[in-house]
Formats: sequence, C-alpha cells, structure tokens
Amino acid sequence: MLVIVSLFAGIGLGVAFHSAVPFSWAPYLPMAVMAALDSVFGGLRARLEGTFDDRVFVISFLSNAVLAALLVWAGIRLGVQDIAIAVVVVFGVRIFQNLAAIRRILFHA
Amino acid sequence: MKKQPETGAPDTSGSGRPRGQIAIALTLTLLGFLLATQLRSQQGLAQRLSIERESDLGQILTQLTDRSDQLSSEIVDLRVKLAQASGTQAQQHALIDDARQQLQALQILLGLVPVKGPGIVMVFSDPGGTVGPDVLLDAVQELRDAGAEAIEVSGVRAVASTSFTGSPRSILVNRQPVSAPYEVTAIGPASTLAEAMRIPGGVVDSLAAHSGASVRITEEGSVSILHVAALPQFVHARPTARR
Amino acid sequence: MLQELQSATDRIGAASGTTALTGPGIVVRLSDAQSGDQTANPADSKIQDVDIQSVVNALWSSGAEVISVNGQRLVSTSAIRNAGGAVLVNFRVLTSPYVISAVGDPAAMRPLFERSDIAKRFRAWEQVYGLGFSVEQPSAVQIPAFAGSLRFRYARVQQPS
Repeated sequence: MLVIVSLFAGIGLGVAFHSAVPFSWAPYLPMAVMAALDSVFGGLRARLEGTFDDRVFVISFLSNAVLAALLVWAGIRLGVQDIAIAVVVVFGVRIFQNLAAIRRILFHA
Repeated sequence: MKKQPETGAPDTSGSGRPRGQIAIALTLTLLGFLLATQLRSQQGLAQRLSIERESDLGQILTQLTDRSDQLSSEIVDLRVKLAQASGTQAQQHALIDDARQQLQALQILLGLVPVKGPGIVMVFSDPGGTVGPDVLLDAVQELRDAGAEAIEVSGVRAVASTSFTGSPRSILVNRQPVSAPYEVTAIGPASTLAEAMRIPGGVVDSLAAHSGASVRITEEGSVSILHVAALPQFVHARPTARR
Repeated sequence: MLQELQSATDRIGAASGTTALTGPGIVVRLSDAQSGDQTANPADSKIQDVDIQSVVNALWSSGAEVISVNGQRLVSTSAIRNAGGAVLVNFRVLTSPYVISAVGDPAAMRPLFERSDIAKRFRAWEQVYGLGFSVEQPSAVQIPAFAGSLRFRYARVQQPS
C-alpha cells in the first residue's frame, strides 16, 4: 500500500511542480529512471520471495541510478554514441528477468 | 500482494520497521517524481514537434542555428569587454605599484626611510685607539662593492655624501662624533658581505696593522637600520635645463 | 593615489641622482704617472681606489652637494674599487685621468679641500711619484644622472609597526 501511495505521491509532486529537465541533464534522466525501475522490480521480486531488505533496496536503487548516469556520462565523453541504448538494454533485460520471476511466484506459487 | 508463508525466523522483511518504510516511501516518491519529470519533458517535445511539417522544421532549425551563432558572437563580445575592463583596473594597479616601488627605491637610496633585510653586523673594537676614519671609509666602500644596499655606521646612515673625517678616538661620521666600539650594519647578501670583509687585503686583514684592533662579524637573516638621513637641500646644484 | 606617489617622487627626485645637475663648483683631476721609470713600484705610479675615495671623501666634507667621477654619479650604493690597472665606479671601468666633479660653493669648498690631508699628500706625490693632481674651478660643473639600476633586492622599507 505504502508503495502505491508514495509512488503516486511522487508523480503528483512532479506534475504539481511543473518540473522540467535542465537541457544539459537530458540524456541522464531517462537512464536514472530505467535504473530506478529496475530496482523497484527487483525489490518487488525480493518482497515476494521473502528476501526483501529495505536497506538493500534503497542502496541498490541509488547506486543503480548513479551508475547508469556515470556510464552515460563516460560514454558521451568517450564519444560512444548511443551508449544510452546499451544501458537501456541492460536494465531492460534485468526488468524482464524480475518480471518473469514475479510472474512465476504470483501465478505458479 | 500475497501474504508471506509463515516461517520460524523473525520477520525482517521490513514491512513492520518504520525506518524501512520511510526509506521505501522516499525512494518511490523520488522515482515517481523522476517519472513525472521525464514524461513531461518528452511530452512537451513531442507536442512541439508533432504540429510542424518537415519544411517548417527545417526553417525552425535554420532560425535556431542563426540565433545560436548570434549568441555565440555576443558571448565573444562580452568576454572582450570584460577583459578590457579588468585590464584597465589591472593596469591602474600596476602603475600604482610601479610608482610606489620607484618612490621607495629613491627613499632607500637617499636613506630617508628605515629599512630592514638580511645582512651583517660588524663591531670594531679599538682598545689601542689606532682605528682612524679611513678604516671605516674603507669598510663602507668594500660593503658597497659587495652589494650592500643600506649601511649604518654607529647610528649614522651612510649615504653618498657621508664623509669620514677626524682621527683615531675622535672620528666624525658626517660631522657627527662617534666612539668605539664602532658598529657597522649593512643590508645585502649576508654571506657575500661577510666574505668580502674577510678576503685577503680586506677590512679584517687591514686591521692587523692597527695594534689591538679587531672586528667581530655576524651574519643576520634580518637586521634593521632605523637611523635616517636628511633630504639634501641643494643650494648650488640645479637640474640641467633640458634642451 | 598615483598623483601623490608621483609628486612625492618628484620632490626627492632632484636629490636622488636620477636627474642631471649643474652648478658652480670645482673639478679635481688625478692621473697616473707618465710611464718612464721601469723600476717604479706600479702601486705608487697608478692612481688607486683609495686615492679617489679619499678625494671624494674630502670633497663631501668640504661641502660638495653632488659628485661624479668620470661621468659616474655617486649615490649611496656607489663603490670605488680597484680592478687590475683600472678603477671601477658603479661597476663601470674607468681609467686615468680621473675627473672628479663636485658642485658646491667654490668660495667655501675650494679652500677646505686644498687644506685637506689628501690634497696635501697628493701635492707631495706629484713630486715624488709623478702622479697628476690639479684643482680647477670652471664656471659651471656638469654632473650627469645616475645611470645604473635602482632595484633593491635585500633592503625593504620598514613600515612603522
């Protein structure tokens, strides 16, 4: 319950404050979002498996976001075009894996 | 969400711990915020672009490029203006510094101000009363030759016009009587000055001819010369008229 | 600020050696002995740094306001030293004859100088060693400006604490 509430609270805040991305930060935000989503699904899976640890969740959330941003920054500096795509792929794969596990737990357990 | 299976282990999964709850809540709020932000920026972009046709887009691109160039050259202009403004100020400071340095150099040259710096202190003892003004004159000359920038002899600032007259036991430095022991302070490269005094045929050597006289030389990292000379008032000398 | 510094500099400028000066005074000429006597001790037949120092010293105490030696203005850092057969003044090499110009009141300065020890000794050396020594009183004595550098690397003005 808390999860749903706080998530919508955050969305509400974002809408209410008309937050917009400073142009120079544009490539980093979607990556951070992807990383954060990955953590959320990972956390959800852990919760269903009974291995959820709030500290792990928070730390992995933040570190994933930071790592993703760093990766994109390095890629831009090194001239690797579209490194964002690689990041998206990686997190996408992980999200799908977590979703698969969740599906197994929910529908086969 | 399904309920967890009951186990014997204590429930550490965090749903009961307030700290965990807060952490999760904050994290998810942040995520929601980021999602909203990202969606909004994408939405705005898509909205703006979708109503334009290709040719219009091309035109917009050209306009934006022009504006970008304009702004770039404005930046260059502003930068140049900034450099000029600070240059003038820096020039002013440099001029003032130069003028101050020039003034101080002249003041030191004329002995008008107290000075301090590295140097040596020499003390001539003359128990036999054989040291005459020529000894002090010679010492001052050798000190100048070795690079002394300021000299004081028994409380009298030795400048260009300082004369050494009189006789042993009644030496006059610039017409002021001084008495043994004679203390000579010189500011300059300390070790060079000390060495110059000690070279064969130098001041220390020449004292040997004066029975009983001796000198003690100390090198100092910092020594002060406080006595000043009067500003010369020329009665007869006047600047040469410029042609 | 700049003006203040400039006018302060101008006030002491004339006295400091940075301007050429002129005025009444006397000119003392010293010269090495004409070489002829091979057995003569070279130290005796050449003008030494101490000779010039003594003449300059005597001129100051006789009331000279400014002095130059062969065009070298004497300031508080000027040294007169022997170097081989020549004499260095302001680290410039000078050779015989040595023209020592002094601006001052000739009426007072000349008699005082002529009565000084060094003048008397030189008159004797003229006869004994053949050294040249003469005292003249031109209508105007020219003293050039100090041409050396005025940078002090060790002495710093001590600000009142």
